[in-house]
Amino acid sequence: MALPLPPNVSAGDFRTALSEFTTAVGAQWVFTTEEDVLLYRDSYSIFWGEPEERIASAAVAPANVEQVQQIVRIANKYKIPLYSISTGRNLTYGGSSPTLRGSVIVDLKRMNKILAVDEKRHFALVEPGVSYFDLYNYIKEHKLKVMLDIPDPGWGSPIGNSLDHGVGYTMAPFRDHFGSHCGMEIVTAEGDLLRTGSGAIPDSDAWQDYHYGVGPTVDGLFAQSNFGIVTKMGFWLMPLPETYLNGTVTVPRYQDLQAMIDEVSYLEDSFLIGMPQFGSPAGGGLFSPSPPELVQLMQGGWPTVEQLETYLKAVNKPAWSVTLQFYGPEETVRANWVAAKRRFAKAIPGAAFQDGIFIPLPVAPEAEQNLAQPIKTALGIPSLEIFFLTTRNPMTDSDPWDGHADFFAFVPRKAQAVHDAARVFWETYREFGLPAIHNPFWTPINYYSRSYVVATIVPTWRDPVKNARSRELFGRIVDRCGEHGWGSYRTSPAFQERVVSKYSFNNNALLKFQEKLKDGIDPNGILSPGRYGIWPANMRRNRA
Amino acid sequence: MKRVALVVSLIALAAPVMSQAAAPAGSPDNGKLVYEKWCLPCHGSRVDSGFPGTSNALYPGAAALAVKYKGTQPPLLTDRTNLTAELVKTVVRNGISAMPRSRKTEIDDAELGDIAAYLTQKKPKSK
Repeated sequence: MALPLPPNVSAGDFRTALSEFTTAVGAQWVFTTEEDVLLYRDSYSIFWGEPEERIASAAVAPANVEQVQQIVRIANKYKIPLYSISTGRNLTYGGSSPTLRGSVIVDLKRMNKILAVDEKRHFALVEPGVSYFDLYNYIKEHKLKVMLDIPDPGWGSPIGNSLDHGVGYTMAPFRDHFGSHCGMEIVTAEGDLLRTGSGAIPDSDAWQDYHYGVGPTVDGLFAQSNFGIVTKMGFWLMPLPETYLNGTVTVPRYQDLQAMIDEVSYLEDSFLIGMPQFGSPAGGGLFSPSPPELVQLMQGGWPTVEQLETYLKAVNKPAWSVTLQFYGPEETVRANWVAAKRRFAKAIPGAAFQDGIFIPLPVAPEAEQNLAQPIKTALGIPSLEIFFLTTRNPMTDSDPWDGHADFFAFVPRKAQAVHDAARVFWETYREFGLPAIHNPFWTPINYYSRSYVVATIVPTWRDPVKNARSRELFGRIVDRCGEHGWGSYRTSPAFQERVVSKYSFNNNALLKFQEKLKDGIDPNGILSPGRYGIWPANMRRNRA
Repeated sequence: MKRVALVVSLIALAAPVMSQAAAPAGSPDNGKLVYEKWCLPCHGSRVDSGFPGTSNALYPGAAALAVKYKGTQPPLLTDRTNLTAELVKTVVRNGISAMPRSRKTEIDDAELGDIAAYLTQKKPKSK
């Protein structure tokens, strides 16, 4: 496979730019051969092997901020499009590949310093190449009394994850990884260096303590965008709780979900619980096959509420469950579980309760890696166990997936919205003649505390025919969810244009505003062109 | 696409053939460290240690190999006796199926050789 040139750049200028990159970072860290550059392919690309696959032209790996600044200045001189990655493990959302084919990857993996972890003021300051595994191991090695909130795969970067609005699994303020950041350092498109919040005061000792500074807060411009390259970022951490406790509530009827949601929301918004984990004993569980009796019932179409209540009596299982998680001193976690049970018992006839596990923290070393999911992530212990969704398993053994593209629709905390989204997924899969595992007991995921995501996963392959079908299915899901007013909170480059197109209020006023910013901040359009639909002026014709 | 085909071919060949490659030059000791950092979280397993919340399970990569080989090969790479250095290096570098590729900023060529040395070193015979 021949490597592409950057768009609108001559071969001569590209050679000169590569030579200058080499002077800046050293020959070892400029990758130009096919063998090396193709390592930046998105292993889960839905365009694998097709002309539209987002292949890089080269990669350059700086070791420090000064080298990032030099790279940006060189790119400006020759109008080379760059695409920056942190650890490059944002699989399902593009991985280490660019949005624009022919971009030069700025691989920040070598910038891997943990600059501070403060166990009294509860923050960390890191560089982009630091992974959650790295940060966790550092905290453990130094016996620091803080707890991480982590996404599923531990090899991701706190900076990269938060900049793509990644999420976690503990208490509400920490699950929103961008929301829990405090202070950024950014290399601008012109190679300048700026710091946000208190960091704008030279020698401030409060960079990770006060995040606003004064005047407009610009931090949000650097998430899911292309306005700068973030080279340092601070994060607020949770003090290591004394203990962890969980317990599960079940409710009998299909129509009990709204009352369950209301009680969960009360507890969550009062900061009495961590992430609630919804389930359905009668429905089989998220991403699991439906029970045979339910499959049979659904052969007649999406069941009515009356049919579902009858089904529940026949299978004699609760309709819904939610596992509540408590963090804190033993006295308070036990008291909060008692209070939660009292509230559910009063609100929902037939609510039942199952005590879960109680773990003093920190976790004993002999237990740490042996904890099952979702306990491991609930305690901020990074792993790669989420890959069970993609790797070969008994359900996919006859035709194993090579990757997946996720569509996570965010919906209000309403039972009907959850049911409607599940039904849209089910109908769309059937429209394409594909087996649909979604059912009326499909459960929400409560990453962001004030909204739910209702999720579906579309397989990707190394087969263009199958990928064409997956692309069509994914696009149809985006459109159908858009008709209901449901967007996605993140998506892969292949679908960013389509997802962004749903945010079209007042003739796309938001995107137009973002593009005005782009034109002013990055006049040569060198930083991650096209990311989340933001193209520089000279490339807007690329818009799908 | 040729690379994918090559990996598949190597996998197919590897199963029935004992390693005949020359001993790799890498360091098994360092390879163990690199393996534990990059590979073990997906190719290891957890056990019920008696502590609340623990349970027995293969991690996803090991579970996938268990499904693939259906008992004809052990699911844990560290238990395999038929891996060749070239196979290990090709798969780690270029990925396979849902396993992504590894860039040289993550695992450099020397470390790649070390992983291969670790996974292909002679193992004590089980009694």
